[in-house]
Amino acid sequence: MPPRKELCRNFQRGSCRYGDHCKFLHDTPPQSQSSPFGFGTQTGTQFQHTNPQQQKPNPFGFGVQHNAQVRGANDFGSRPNQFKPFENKWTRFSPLNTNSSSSLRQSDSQTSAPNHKCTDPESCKRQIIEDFENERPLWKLTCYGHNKNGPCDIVGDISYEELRALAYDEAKRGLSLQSIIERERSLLNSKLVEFQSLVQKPYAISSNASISTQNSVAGVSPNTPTTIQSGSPPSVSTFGQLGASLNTSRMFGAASSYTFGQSHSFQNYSQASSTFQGNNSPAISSHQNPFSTSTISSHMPTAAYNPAEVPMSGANSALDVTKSIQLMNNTHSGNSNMDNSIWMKAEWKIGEVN
Amino acid sequence: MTAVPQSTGRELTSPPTDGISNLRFSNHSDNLLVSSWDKSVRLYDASANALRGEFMHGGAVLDCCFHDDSSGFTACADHTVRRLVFNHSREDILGRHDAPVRCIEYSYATGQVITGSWDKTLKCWDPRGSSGQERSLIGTYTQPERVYSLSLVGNRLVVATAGRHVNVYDLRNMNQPEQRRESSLKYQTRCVRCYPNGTGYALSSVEGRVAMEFFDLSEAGQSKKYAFKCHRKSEAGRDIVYPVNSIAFHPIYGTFATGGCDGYVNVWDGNNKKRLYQYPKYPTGIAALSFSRDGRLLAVASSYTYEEGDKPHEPDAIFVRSVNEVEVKPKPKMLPNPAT
Repeated sequence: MPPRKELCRNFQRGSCRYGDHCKFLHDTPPQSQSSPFGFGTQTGTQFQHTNPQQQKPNPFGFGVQHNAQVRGANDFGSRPNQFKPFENKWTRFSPLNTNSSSSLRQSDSQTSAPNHKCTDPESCKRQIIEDFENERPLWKLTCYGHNKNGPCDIVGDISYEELRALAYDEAKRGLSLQSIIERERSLLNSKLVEFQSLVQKPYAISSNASISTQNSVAGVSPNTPTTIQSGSPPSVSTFGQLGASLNTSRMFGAASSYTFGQSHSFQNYSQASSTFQGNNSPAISSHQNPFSTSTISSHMPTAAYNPAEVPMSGANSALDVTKSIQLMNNTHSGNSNMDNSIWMKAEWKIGEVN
Repeated sequence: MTAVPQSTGRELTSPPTDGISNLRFSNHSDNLLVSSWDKSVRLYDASANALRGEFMHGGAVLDCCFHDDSSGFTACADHTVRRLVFNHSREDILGRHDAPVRCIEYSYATGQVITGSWDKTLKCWDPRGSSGQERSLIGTYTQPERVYSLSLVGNRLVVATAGRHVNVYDLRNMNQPEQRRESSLKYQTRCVRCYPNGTGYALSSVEGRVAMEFFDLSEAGQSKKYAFKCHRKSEAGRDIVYPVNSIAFHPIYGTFATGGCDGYVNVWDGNNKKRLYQYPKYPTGIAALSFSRDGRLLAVASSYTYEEGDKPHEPDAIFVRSVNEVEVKPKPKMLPNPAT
């Protein structure tokens, strides 16, 4: 009897060969595995209680089978979405396994299929939420794939070196620190929004990626940091708060370090800000309705660098900059963070901005 | 000079004036090559704590590596790959990419310089010939995305790119990757390093995790892979998750050190899945790590890596510390669990 009640260790690791015939219990344990330094612990506590036959995300611990070898190419082909109960092959034969080179075919099918192959979208969504709740990394401009060994859900990776290199280049070109910061901030905001929409609609992944217009990158230019598409979904507020706290505390240059006294390329962010240094060039003020849904951003770059006081080498450099951003990050969707108060709050401590 | 006696190690004099992108010990001596965002590449004698030479480039230098004790190569943000001879203070351009060159390695096995760039290619160069791209370029290999990190062991090359792709190449046949994989971590890859014994590689990401992977694709091989969390701080029930910027393997024991943006360096025993040691916190995030060839010294680049954008930070510094055996030597394996 004791063997019956005891949990099968192999099953927990996804490697029990006996399946139904195993004399130990095949069940998910109540978070019993923990050890210092996070080895072997399961992060997804919620998942403990879900049906083991769902495609469970691999817990982040030692000893977990990470979708090891596919048994054969045939297997993959024949079982795209099936997970038999108590058959722990799901950890290994997850269709997203791409380890062997013979599975190049699989990787093709993965990249072509817009929806990934989880049998249970609910659990995947839960996993995504869980990940974002507990484990959101400090560095926001990252890609994300909720399935290990699987393709990314959110693309558009930027490494901090790339951001830094770009900022250095821009500084060399004569862009003010302010505008660089603004650009970085909107990159960040649009990425946060991407993450938020992933949580809401995990299967609109491909469409999210395609939403990214190149304009959005252009929209990164300081003039209108947020190319606003439509009203912000109310749930943006969670990320929005995060954004706000980040903006005010850490991210991308606490505004307090940089004075507003910089007069070059002092773009206006909204009508309210016309009270600030009147470096409005008429071209810009014409774009002062950033809150309409049009993708103004297409002509942003040129307008943005029109201010006479900026000794730029013409609009070309701006375009170069935006192009290089595009190169790096082509999925910044047009629906950047709509909550203006966030970035405004960070930026414009002087005077009201609303 | 010993800024802080032994708790962080000896701080090197005349460090670079801007962020440090990478540092490496030589395979022949205690010379340390340091590349920096201030466009310089500096050669230090780590034991003597002296600057031996400096080269200025046209743009931020993103990576560097030794060839032998008197020459090396650098990867620069001005798209060039350069070859340096330290004794004669000579440098020339070996070749170019179309975008900043992010990583560079020299393969002793094939005598080639391998570079990865943000133009999504990998290039192999022959450093012996006269300069000029026509002569020295051996091959160009397209990658799925921008290259973020490279590592070599024996005849194997592991390339980690944006979008979490990982390609494993056999240097003897570069026409196509030996293996094409996705990272088993969920977020952006920061660093990849092969095990000194050549059986696999460690991959770190921005989400405070390191994955230990193996080249062997058989079931037995793949059953050993795992990932663990590190460089996190618990605060109010949630974790602050720091990127793990650098991994360095101890040349003798095979244990490895990881450095993250939290300013800590941890030493891990990969086989026993334990942490061996944690060094006291450095002034700012760790940008790079390197063990000396005999494993007695560990160079730590404490340099803000821009993960929070542009902000005021501690000055960038390089610390060289002596490594005690207890910090890096694996402990004997624990007895197996009596349950079943």
